Amino acid sequence: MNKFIKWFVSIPAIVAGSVLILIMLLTTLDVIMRFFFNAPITGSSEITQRFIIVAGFLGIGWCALNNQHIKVDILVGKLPPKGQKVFTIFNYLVVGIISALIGTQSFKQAALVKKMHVQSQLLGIPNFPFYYVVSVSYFILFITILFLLVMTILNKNPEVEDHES
Amino acid sequence: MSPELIGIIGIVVLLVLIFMRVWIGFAMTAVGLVGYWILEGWTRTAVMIGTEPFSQISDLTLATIPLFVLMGAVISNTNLGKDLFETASKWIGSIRGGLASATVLACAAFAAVCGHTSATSITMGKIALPEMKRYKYNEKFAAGACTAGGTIGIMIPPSIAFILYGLITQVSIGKLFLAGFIPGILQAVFYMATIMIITRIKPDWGPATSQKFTMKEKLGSLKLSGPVMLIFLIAIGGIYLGVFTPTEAGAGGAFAAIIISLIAKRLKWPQFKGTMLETTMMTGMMIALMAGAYIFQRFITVSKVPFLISDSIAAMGLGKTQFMLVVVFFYLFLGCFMDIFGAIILTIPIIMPTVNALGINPVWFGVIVVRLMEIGLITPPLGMDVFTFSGAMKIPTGTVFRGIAPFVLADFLHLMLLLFIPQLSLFLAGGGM
Amino acid sequence: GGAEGASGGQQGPIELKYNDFNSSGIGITMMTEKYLNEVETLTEGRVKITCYFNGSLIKYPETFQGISNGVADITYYMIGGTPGVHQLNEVFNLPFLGFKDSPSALRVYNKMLEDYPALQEENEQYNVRALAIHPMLPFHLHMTDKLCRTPADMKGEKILAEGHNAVMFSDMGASAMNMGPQDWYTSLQRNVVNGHFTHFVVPMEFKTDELLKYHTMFGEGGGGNGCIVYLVNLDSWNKLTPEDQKIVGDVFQKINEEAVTLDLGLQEKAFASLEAQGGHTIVTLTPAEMELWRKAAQPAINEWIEATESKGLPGKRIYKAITELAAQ
Ligand code: NA
Ligand code: NA
Repeated sequence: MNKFIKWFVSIPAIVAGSVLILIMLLTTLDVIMRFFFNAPITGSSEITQRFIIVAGFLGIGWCALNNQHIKVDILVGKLPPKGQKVFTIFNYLVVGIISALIGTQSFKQAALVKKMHVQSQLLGIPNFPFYYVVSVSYFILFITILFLLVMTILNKNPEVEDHES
Repeated sequence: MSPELIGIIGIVVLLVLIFMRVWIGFAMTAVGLVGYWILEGWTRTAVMIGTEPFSQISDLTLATIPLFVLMGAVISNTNLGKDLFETASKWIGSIRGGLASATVLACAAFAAVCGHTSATSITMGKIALPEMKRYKYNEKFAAGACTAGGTIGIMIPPSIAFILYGLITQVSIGKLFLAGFIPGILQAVFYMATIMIITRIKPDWGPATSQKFTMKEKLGSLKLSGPVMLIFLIAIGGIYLGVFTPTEAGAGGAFAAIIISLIAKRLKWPQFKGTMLETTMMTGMMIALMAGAYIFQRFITVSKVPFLISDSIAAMGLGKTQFMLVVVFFYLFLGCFMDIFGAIILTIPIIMPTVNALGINPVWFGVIVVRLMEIGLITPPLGMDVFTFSGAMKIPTGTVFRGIAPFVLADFLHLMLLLFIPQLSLFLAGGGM
Repeated sequence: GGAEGASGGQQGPIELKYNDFNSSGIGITMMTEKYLNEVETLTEGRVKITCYFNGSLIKYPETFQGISNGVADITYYMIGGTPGVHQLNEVFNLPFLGFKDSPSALRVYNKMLEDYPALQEENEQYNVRALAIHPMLPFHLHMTDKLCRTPADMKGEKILAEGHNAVMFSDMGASAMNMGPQDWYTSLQRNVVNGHFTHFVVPMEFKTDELLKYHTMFGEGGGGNGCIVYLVNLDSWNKLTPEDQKIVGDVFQKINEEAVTLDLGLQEKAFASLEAQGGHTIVTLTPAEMELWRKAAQPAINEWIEATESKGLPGKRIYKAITELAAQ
């Protein structure tokens, strides 16, 4: 299970990182073509605007598994491990519910946006696949959180915050 | 219950959740979602949470942030940053706190182009923090210098905050740019003075090296800092020479960093892997935080709290001095949970008529507002930049807040100076509108 | 409460949210707010409209989605703002349609909306209706470093332009760029771009008139117009009684017409401000020169006609009708 979940969040994260590199290359190429050859790449900004969704969201499950999301540890960090566990579980519940809701609603929006043919101006790139990316990202997060929640309840969470402070 | 009351309750609940160690981005999403639901009903809330993450993040300006983070990660993972500090320590290592001052200056230069405060502090933190630790600097103090340093850049042109302010208030953007210049430089000077005073009181926080270097050794070390200097020069120079827009500078800088570190034979597979791990991690973390912040902002908008406060300020019939005092508290408060752009968009149009009626110079007022929002980003209880920095550097939030305290004190002195001597802002801008 | 709260019962007034991406506190939004505040009195308390300016309700690119989904009840919308949802209505955005001036463009736009139900149907399929329609101010060409009189002068220039206009400039051998307003000033200053195809008020408001010194005027009617519609969500609309629909509709007609008057006033102000600044070169093209530009724009227009026809929509007929009306 441990190994499965690691792969389950790592692959999307690798995609996210690769897409970020693509954005960098595309923008640089656009700048070079424009500045030196007066021939910018049509709609390069439209691609960047959509790719940033992939580069940004696909990594959020991985961040969760590695306990990377930002938090304030001033008060809870002072509690004994058992007390901390309560707050850790509470956090997972909040994040779990939120990610399920956003995952579902982005999925519905994706269908709507598809029906409305919303797309980019110059290249006509449809927006809906990127709504699906948001949706999938939050579902990945949801499953990761479920895993962490179960592990925490079983006192088996290797990454749990208790060890930090 | 009035929407405004629900808005204020929402802010309190958000604080409680955050101190219960709920991940900040998700605490903001949760409160934003529930609050919007109460005010607007489920149908609209469902659309809002399904649309906002795409809508807000598919933004060109935002795309620049992970690219700057990438650039910083390349510099730190390839040890090019270490080389830079090697040079710096040979030149100014014998001065107490010298490396911290150098970091502040580098932050100022970097933030000036990047235009995003927390991206700057994280990028520079990645490079400078391990190095300052290596030179036996106090961690808290070093973290404070990086985070505070990151806020300088909004003042220094080109500044997206001033462009936005100019668009809304019809004030010349060119003049706003000029107006921010001296305050921005002064801010850096204030931070360096803070560093000097602190290291005088606590010499072990920023110890001086006892080693003496000959001029030849010093000049020889310059070679080491060459690659990083070149990367910075490309990122900053590219904008000033019109090769790319400020929004494109992130990509240009990251690309330059990769190419230069490849040529310097520093970027091999392990370094590249480390760089990508770090960048992806920080990107995911920041995106989750921002998506949450925007959803929370939508809730605050429909709660009409910003309208309520700015309307009340406008209606109080205050004199110039009292008005400015209220403005100070208002924007420090807003700086806790809104980004600079959101706050400007929501409040400036409402407050501006009062500013004009009181005969307050709008250019100067813009400088003050932007300055206040910067301070809000690094002060407790909510300081977005402190949160992102502590998340990225794995330093507890409390430590960063404590480390930043002396810099916040300097900020308030700097603010007073700007408040009492408007000429500091208006001298270059030529006084009028 | 929003739509759901309002539908709950007939006790309270029906509250409608009006969304607008313009800044509050400027002429157009102050005028709009003034008229919309009167709705409560006009309907004897049955309908109340709250204004949300600065796009604080919906982010600009998602405006059409937002009104279709009912995040707002009524919105100010620029055709093309959410690309892809309109095909036929894009006719209003085509370059060089041949309008004499803004008031005649206003008449033509409204006549088109009346005479061709296919235009309104394109809104209604997404649960939205246009209450009123007006042209933006005429577009002209503004350059930082040289005066362009003919399409041939455009070769190698870097122009800020969108949509069909971007296609048109590319056809002329220029590079068309589209970037957010936050980058306009810096990019013009640093020569990332050296021209902007837009109406005269934009350089004044975005302070880029400090940089754009050479202006090519395509007559009084301009080389193109943007198109503003006031859209209402049909669910929200159907909650109103026919009597209240008439009142709200009339208010938006008034706002619509006054918007054009205000725009023209702003354009006058922009001309005066250029004069006061000094150092500006403004040239109005002769009809013969205009014809060269119109011809150069034709491939971009044909591209739209073909795309529209391929979707089974009467692109050719609509284009012919609007140019004929414009020529009258
Ligand atoms: Na800046
Ligand atoms: Na704060």
